[in-house]
Amino acid sequence: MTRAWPIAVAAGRRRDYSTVLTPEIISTEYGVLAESLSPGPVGGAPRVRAVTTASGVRLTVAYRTHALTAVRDQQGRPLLMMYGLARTGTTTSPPSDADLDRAWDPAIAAYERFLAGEEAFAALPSRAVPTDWPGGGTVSPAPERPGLRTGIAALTAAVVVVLVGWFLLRPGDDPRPCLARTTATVDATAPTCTPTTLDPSPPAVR
Amino acid sequence: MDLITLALVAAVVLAVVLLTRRHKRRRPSPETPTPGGDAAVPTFRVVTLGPRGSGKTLLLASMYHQMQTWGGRGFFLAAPREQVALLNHWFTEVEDPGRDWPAGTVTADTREFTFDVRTRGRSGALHTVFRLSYLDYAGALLTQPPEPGSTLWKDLDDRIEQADALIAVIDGHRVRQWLDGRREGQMGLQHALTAMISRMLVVEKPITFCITKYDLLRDIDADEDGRLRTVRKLLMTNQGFRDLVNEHAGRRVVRLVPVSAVGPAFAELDESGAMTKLPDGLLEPTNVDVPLAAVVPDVFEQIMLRLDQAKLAAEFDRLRRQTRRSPGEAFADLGATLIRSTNRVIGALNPLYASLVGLAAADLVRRQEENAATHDAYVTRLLDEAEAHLEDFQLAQRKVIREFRSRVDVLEGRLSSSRLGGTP
Repeated sequence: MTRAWPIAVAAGRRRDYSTVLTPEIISTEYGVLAESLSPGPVGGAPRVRAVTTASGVRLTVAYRTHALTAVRDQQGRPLLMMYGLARTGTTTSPPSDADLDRAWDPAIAAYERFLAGEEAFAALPSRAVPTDWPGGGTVSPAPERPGLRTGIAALTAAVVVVLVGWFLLRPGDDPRPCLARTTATVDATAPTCTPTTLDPSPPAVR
Repeated sequence: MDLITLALVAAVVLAVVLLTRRHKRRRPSPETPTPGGDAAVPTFRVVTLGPRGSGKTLLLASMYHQMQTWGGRGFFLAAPREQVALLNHWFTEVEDPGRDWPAGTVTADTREFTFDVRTRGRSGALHTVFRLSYLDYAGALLTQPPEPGSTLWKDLDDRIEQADALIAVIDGHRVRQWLDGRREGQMGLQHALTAMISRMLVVEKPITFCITKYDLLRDIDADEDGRLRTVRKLLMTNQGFRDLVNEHAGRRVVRLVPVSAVGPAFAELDESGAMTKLPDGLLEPTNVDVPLAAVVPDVFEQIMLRLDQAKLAAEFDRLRRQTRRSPGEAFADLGATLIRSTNRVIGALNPLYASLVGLAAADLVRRQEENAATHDAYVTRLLDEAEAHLEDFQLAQRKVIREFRSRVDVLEGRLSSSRLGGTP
């Protein structure tokens, strides 16, 4: 028994292809569905796609392409809906037709709500349904976060800045040119250059 | 500096160098010529911007259909087999009155098409003289707020940044609605213009604004240029468009090109406002080749516009004095200087194209001087000499640039309102 979530991506009369139904487990990063699901032949065999969200959740999506004959866009063009099921983990085999059929009702219900208010619509979350979808592990480890490398680079840059700043501004370092080092051999108690502060104590010789 | 500090700084520098090298290894630069690849063939990258339903894909299919054969031109376009199949499939869907219009482009179907511009050299051999990469994407990426977790909108911004030229598609149907006093036309057009222009203002690339479905506007003025003037006036009421034209007029090539992928006798608007194919409609695409033909000459023209004129004059003086070098070398040298001078603007242009840029620049200067009746006999002679020494491939390349240029000139001659900015 594998848990799977109904999904749907479709266009409306005015709005372009959008996610209308998303698995609740990716309800804050469902944009990956509209960006990954490409329509197949209408009425053809289901397509299976592996998708990975921005936070690293790996899903397998199996979907059909359906022509929405009752509605057209403002330009008079036909509209398509891609609907199906998503599960965690990766597999190349689709679920049974009977399992895929179970995605239709929630998909079309979500699409009707989408049509009723396209402009302000946000994808509806779907609940998991039990299926006999075979193959693949159900949970996959999250891959390296995309921001990690950027974070390391930023941290490195920050360390460089701090080190350079510390090196230039550390106490006792006078950026002004001093007398030649040979003066230190003349009198160890005498300053080798004029101190930048008003501190009357003689500078330490290093 | 004490030893510990020195060691720490050295360690950090080493870490940065290693990280950078690793990053570079993972993401090879697109500018690097592929080993063994055809590095002599310059690729010009074009990104087409336009809202949903504005006709981007139809324009692309019609453009390719018209340019895939010689058709009286000195060149034709070729594409990889699977792309040809797709483009022809779209065009067949369009031209068959018994079939529906193609469905809109899905966000996941953002595709990059690669067109080889091919011609025959003097020897009779076929050459690929340029490549044009053309990005076709879903309008949603331009006008809709991104869905949570989306990444493609960022990719589109990067593609715009890397492009050599932009094509901005304006929906002629929206223009028609606006002229008819319909609010949805005005709102739709303003929204689309604002979305496109906010992206185009920050990258100074040549732009061709294409007004698609232009056949819907044929009754607004009997005079062709008068019609375009009316549309231009309407577009100039959008502040962003006005700013783009006014602010960038002197240093950016901006065109306004009326196009129709199907022509005036193929489809009409029904009562619902949708386009319906006529049962015995005649397919007559208009000007669909111009946006692509304008890309290469506009990139060269923009190089010239962005150059300091005193520097340009100095470069040509230097060219005249170079009597010891062959004309081919002299033009390559000129081209290299021009590319370096405009590197930030034309960043994508490969330094390997120096000779091409030099020759194109000299051609352009000669053309401008001819127009201004200050024809420089020396540059002409140099160009003629260079021509005698050029390889078959380079001559073919030059022939196509001139033909591209001529196609654009013909349109400008017929429709003076089509030039919005960067007038030479």
